[in-house]
Amino acid sequence: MNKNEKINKSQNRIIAFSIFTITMMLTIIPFPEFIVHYMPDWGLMALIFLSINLPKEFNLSTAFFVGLITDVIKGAILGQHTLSSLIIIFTTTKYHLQLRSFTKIQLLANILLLSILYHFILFWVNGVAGVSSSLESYWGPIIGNFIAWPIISEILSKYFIYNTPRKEV
Amino acid sequence: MVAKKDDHSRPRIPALTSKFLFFVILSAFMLINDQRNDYLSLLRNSIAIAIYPLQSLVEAPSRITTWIEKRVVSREMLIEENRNLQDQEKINLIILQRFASLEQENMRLRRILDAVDRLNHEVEIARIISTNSNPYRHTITINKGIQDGVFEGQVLLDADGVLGQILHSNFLTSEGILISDADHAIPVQINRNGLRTIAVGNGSFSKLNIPYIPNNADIEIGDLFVTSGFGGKFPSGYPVAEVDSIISDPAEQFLTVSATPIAQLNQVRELMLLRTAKNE
Repeated sequence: MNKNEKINKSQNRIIAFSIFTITMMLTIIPFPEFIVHYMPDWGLMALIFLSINLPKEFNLSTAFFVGLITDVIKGAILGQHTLSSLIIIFTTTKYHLQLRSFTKIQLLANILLLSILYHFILFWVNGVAGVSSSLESYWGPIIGNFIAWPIISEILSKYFIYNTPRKEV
Repeated sequence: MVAKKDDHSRPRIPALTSKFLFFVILSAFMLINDQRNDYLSLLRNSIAIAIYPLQSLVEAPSRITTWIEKRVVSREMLIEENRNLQDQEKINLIILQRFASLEQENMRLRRILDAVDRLNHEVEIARIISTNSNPYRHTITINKGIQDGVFEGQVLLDADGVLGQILHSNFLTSEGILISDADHAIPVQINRNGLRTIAVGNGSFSKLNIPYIPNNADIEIGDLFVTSGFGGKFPSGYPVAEVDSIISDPAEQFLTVSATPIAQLNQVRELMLLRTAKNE
């Protein structure tokens, strides 16, 4: 039992590492201009998924590092994406049991609210720092997240090994 | 055993709130310090080095296709291109002859004026490895960094004119800001009559705003803006933009002037870094 757990943990870690690598690559890839506003926050989506389903292994420290890397990739002020992902991941980790028991639609509505909060914090930091941003770049990713979440969570739930029995809805 | 099992189905995350506070304070510290001073450049550098393999991996497909394109160009095309280039070179040589004598004359005059010789700027070629996906931030990442002597504020050019300047220089890569970024302004003057002003980016690759031109100023459509050299960042005389519209409203104090950048802001892959002395 114990041995199995260890194997699971290290396997999960490898899977998580490769998933974060892929999300960071998706963040770097330049997309065509008409779709670029609507790109979901890949890193945030992966973080939310992990913090709900494997909150013991992946919580705030993962969020901190992923946020920091996103800051460097996007050329933002250091700490901007870090702060907003920390706040989102804190709530999802804290209430992961409730979030797990939600139906898919309820969870999706929560993801929508959380990504509005995420972008509000980014927007607020931009405003304080005097960086200009457009309305589209504020709403676009929220719509992108809303569309991408069901797909991302469906794909990710296939790859991880869960120690805790997950509630099927 | 039962307790342990229960523990598994309800995983408690130890010290979540204190961890949260710690990380939030850390990121708030970064937010405050990143814009004000230079303490965090080492952190930014090391992360940039860590993600460099990812960046080059993402860029690899386009590099491979250009590599293949280069190698499968037909012989006729190469001969044709070669002939064109040879013709062009002859023309360039003729122009250059005049340029050499002009340069001599210019240097003589400068010496008389006791001015510093600034004509011999060397350039270094760099490649764009990624661009910012946020349309309001016109920043690019290039494949040269501190290691190659890139410094903050270094001027970026393409074959036609000024592209922008370096925003941050990391160890292996650097981030540049284009003149079309909404937060960028460049001191310019009209080549024809020396009228000084600034050209401000507005988030569009094909337009720069020229504010504060008085209603009675001598400005025409087609006038060329070159860098004026004031402000100390950009050396003087490099072409920046061409006036494409002037709207005069007598009720306003200033003309509404917009200009088209000369450099191909959203089409270049290679650019040149101007090798000026850092303290010039």
